[in-house]
Amino acid sequence: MENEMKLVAGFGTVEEYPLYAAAGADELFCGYVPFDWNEKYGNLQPLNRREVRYVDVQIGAFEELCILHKMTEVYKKPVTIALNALCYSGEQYPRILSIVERCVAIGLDSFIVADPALLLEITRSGIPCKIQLSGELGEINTPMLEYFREVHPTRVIFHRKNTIRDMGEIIQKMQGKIPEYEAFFLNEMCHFSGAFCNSLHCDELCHLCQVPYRLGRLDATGESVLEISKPRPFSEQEDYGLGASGCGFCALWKLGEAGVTHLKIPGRGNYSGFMEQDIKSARQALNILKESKSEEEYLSRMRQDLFPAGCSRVCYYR
Amino acid sequence: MIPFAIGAVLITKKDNSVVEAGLTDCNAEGFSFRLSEKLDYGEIDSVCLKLFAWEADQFSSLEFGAEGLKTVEQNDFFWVYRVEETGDEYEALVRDFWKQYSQYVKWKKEGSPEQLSHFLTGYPEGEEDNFAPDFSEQKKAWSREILSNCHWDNADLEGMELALSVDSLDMLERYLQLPMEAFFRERLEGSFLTEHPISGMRPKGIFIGNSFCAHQLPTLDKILATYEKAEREGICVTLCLPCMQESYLQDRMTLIEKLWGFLERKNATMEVVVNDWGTMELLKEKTTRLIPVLGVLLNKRRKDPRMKYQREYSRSQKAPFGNALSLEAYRRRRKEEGIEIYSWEADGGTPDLPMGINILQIPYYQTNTSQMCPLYAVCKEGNRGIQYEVENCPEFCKEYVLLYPKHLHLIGRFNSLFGMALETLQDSAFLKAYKESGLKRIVLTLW
Repeated sequence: MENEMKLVAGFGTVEEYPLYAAAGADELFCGYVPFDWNEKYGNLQPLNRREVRYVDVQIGAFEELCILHKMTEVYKKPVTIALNALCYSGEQYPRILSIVERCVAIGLDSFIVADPALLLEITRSGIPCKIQLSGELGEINTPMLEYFREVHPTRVIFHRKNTIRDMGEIIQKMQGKIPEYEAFFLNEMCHFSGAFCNSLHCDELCHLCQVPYRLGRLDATGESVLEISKPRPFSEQEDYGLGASGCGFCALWKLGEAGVTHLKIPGRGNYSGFMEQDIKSARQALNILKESKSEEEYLSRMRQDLFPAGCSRVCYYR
Repeated sequence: MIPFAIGAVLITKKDNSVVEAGLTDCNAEGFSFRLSEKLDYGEIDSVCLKLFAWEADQFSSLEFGAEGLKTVEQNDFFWVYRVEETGDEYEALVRDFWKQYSQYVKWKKEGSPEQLSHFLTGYPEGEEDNFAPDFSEQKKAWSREILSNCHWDNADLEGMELALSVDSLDMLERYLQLPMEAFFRERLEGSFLTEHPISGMRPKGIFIGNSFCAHQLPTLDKILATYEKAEREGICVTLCLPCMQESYLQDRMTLIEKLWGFLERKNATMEVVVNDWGTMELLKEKTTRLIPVLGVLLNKRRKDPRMKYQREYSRSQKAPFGNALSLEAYRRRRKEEGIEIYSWEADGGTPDLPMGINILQIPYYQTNTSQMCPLYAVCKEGNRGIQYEVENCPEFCKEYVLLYPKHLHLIGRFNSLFGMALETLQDSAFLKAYKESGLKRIVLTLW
C-alpha cells in the first residue's frame, strides 16, 4: 500500500519518550499539568482527560517539559500536548493560554484541543501554534470541519465511533483544506463516546461505564433481568495481550484507503512495557502493510505474524 | 519518578522566579529532583517540597535552603539534585506520605473497585448488587422518594414555561392521538407522578425528537403534523436534533431545507436544539426561521451521580459547574451565530446560568452517550462493547433499559446513560432559585 500512515503514541513520563520513539512511534503526545493548576483545581476541573493523581499519566513540572524538549531535538519525534478536557470554567482560560505560551516558548507548539471556547481563545490570542481538533470535540462531519476551519487546524482526530466509511467521505471532501487525519486503532475502546462522556475518571471512583448494570425490561412483562454485566476485575490486567482492550489491526488497509494519515495508540498511564510492545507490533503491521499488494495479503501476513494464536476480537471497526 | 500529581519541587530564585521541577525520589534520608539546566546555587532562595496528603486532601509543604543541595547525576538531558539533612519534620511528612500511598496501592491491588471507593470515599459497599426488577419498579421507587418529601408550590415557577419532552417516536404518536391534557396525564401516570402538584400546570411547549439518538428523530411529515396539532392547542414545538454522523448529512440538509421552507410559507419560526457543530453550520443562513438552541451535548459539564462521593467535591462542596458559557467572548460568538438560548440539565447542583434565555431539563440528566448504541449491542450481541452502526434500528429501547444499582439513581435509555435528579421534583425552591438567572423554561421528561 502506498499510503504510509504514521504512528502516534501517548506517554505519561519523560522516560517513556525515548523508549517509545525507539519502538517505532513517529509522533508522541502527552499531557502537562502545572503544579499550581493541580493544587488549585485537582481532578475536579482537570486540564485534560487524564484525571488521576496516583498514577504517572502526564508531565507535572515545567522542567520536565524542558527535558522532554531536549530529547525531541535528539530523537526527532514531534510531541503534541493534550489540552483536551471537555470544558473549563471562565477563570481557567487565561491560565491555559499562559500554559500554551510557555510551551510554545520552549518549542512545544502543537496542541490537542477539545473545547470550542479554548479553540476560540487560542485563535484570538494569536499565539503561534498548531491545533489538532480532538475527537472529544463532538461529532465529526464535513460541515463541522468547515465550521472549525477558522482555527486553522493542522489535523483532525476522528473519535472512536466514526466509521471508516464516514472518515473516507470526510477526508475526500476536506482534501486540501485540512492536511492530516488521525484515527484510533489500538487500546481503550470505550463503550461511550469521549465527547459525550461527562462522568468522573478519578482515582477513588471507577469510570461510570464500569459500574455494574443489568439489561431489564421497561415493565414487568416477561422475565425481568436478561443480562448482567460482567464483574469488574479486582486489579488492572497484569498479562499483556495485543489489542485486548481494543484492536484495529484488521482495519489498517481500509483506514489507509480512506486517507487516514496518522494512527493513534492511546495509553497514557499504561504499563510502559505494554505500550512499547504495542508500538513495536503496530510498526510491524505497518511494514507488512507497506509491502502488501492487496488487503488479503496484508491480513494473511499480519494475522500470521502478530496473532498466530488468534486475536482478542475486541474490534475498533466492524 | 513520584507521580506528578502527588509530589513536586518548587525552587524559588532570588529574583522571585519559580522553577517547577519533577520529584524523582523521596525517602527518609532526603529527596531528589531534576532540572533541564545546571543550577547556580547562588541564585537559589529556597527549595520547597510539596507532597500530597490524601487524608487532608491537600499538599503539605516544607522549605529548605540551598546549603544542603548537591548534584547526584548528570547526563545529556538533565541534572539531578538532592537535598539531605532534612530533619524530623521532614521524616514525619515523608513517612505519612508513603503510608497513605502504600495504603492506596494495597487497596487498588487487593480490593474490588467498589471496595477501593468505599475505603477512599465512604461509597456504600454492597449496594452495587441492589437493582430494581424493571424500569417501572425503578420509577415507582423514585416517585415514592419524590412524593414523600415534596415541598412544591407551582407559584415558585411563575414566569417560567413548562414544556414536555416527547423524545421517542412512540411517545410522539401518543401526543398526536391525544389532546395535550390527556397526553400529559398519561405521561404523569407512566412516571407515577399524578399526585405531584406539577400536574396542575399546563404545558405550553413540547420538545420533539431526541438529542442523543438519531433513530428517534421524527420524519418531516410527523414534525409538520405535530406542528399543526400543537398550533391548534396553542403550544410551541421545539425540535431536538441529535448529533449528525457524516452518513446522515444529506438527510439532515434535506430536513432543514424543507422545514425552513414550510416555516417561510407559514411566516413562522421554530426552535431547534442543536447537538453538533456541523448542524450549526447547516443552520447558518436559516436562523430567521429556525432558531438554534445550544443543546446539552454542546453545552458540556461534568455530570456523574456519584459526584457527592468524589473527594474534592465532597470536601469543598464547590461544584465544577463552569463551562465555556461563563466566557463572555464565547457567548458573544454564539450570539453572532444566532444562539441565544442555552439548554441545561439540573443534575443536583446549581449551575450559574449566564445571561440569555435558559432552558432547564428535569429530572433526568445525560452522563454518557455513544453515537452507536450500547443497548443494541447488549440486546443483539450480548456484549455492550460490540457496537456498530445500525441502519434499520429495531428499537430495543421500546422494551429494554439498562438498570443500575438503586443508590445511583441512574438509568440506561436509548444510546445513553441518564442520572435522575430527584430534588428537581421535590422542591420547587430549587427551580425558583434559577429565576433571577434567566431561566425561562423547564422541560419535563416523563419516561
